[in-house]
Amino acid sequence: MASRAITGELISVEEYLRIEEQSNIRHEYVGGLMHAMTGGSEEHNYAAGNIYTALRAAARGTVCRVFMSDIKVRTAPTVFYYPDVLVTCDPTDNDRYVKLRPCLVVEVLSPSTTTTDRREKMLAYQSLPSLRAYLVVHQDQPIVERYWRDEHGTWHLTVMQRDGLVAVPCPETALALADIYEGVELSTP
Amino acid sequence: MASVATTERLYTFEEFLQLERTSPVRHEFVRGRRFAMAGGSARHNRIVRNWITLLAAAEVGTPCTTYFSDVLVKVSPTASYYPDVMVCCDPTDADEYTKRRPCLLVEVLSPSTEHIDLREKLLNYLSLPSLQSYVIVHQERALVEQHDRDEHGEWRLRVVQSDGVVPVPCLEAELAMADIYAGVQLEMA
Repeated sequence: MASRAITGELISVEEYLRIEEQSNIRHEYVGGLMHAMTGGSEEHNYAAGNIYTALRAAARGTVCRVFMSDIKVRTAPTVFYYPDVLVTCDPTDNDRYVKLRPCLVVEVLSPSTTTTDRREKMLAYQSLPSLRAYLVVHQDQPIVERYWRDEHGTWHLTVMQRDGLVAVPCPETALALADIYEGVELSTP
Repeated sequence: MASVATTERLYTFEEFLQLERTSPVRHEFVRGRRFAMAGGSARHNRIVRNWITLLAAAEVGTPCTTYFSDVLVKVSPTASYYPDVMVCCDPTDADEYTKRRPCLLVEVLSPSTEHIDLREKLLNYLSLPSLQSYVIVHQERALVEQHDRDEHGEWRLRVVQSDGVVPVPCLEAELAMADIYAGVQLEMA
């Protein structure tokens, strides 16, 4: 979870980006305030890594580019996050540090970020016209919540449990739950 | 074990409101999902009570009304919350259950919802054109973080400590920290 200093100072976007280039730890930026990000667990790392690897393979030969952990997405003028996995398929979305038009975002839940991933980031990511799906991946049980936008712009939620395939629109592929959770120690239900 | 894929209902705001009227617990509404609200501590309650008492006195002779806890604020088609305290001064903002144009919003922090108040609600509340001030009140020490607009309408942050005053622009009032925390057992000086 993020921690912060209460200073009474709002930080400008320019200043945040400058701090971030030199900082040892990553920060999210929300409405002029910086929130430090904590490290993650083995399970978190494996699940995110498995998804990243599968999407990197699927993106080969397409215009889509897949990033993990270190690349920011800007969802509003004063909002920057570091998604666990991010896919952009827009060749003009080419800033080296900050993406503006992701097509897919994946967040692997941790106890300390679950509420933020489910509420704040849900609102932020789904407000992006470029986004076609948002995957929320549980790390202690094989559950993936797939939020997806249909051709009319309406959002839907499909929850996948235990095994099966999670459809991904970009790059166009399907992720097997068995592959997402490969090597991840799951708690017994 | 068989795989399970379920499509979950995402509620419209109207459906949410309908459910809320007969629900024994209150929920917040974020992107089609309902999030149940927890109860609060005696100290949280006392600070809210102080705010209501002070604002109710200050609103006399103004078109403004102070609401607390049970009245929704709809910040967008996809998000609606129950603020701890809300002041509305717009007579056209007349719906019985839902306000859209508050001029003051106050949240008293609790450990379980602190990050929602400091991040998600900060972003969403400050997007309301009618809002003049969002006040975040700590409950374990005399500390207030106030986001208000400067003379150009830009958001700024002020931190008010023990013996300061918190301006309430829409009521042309100032609240003393001593009154906001009257009767409250603080943990730190």
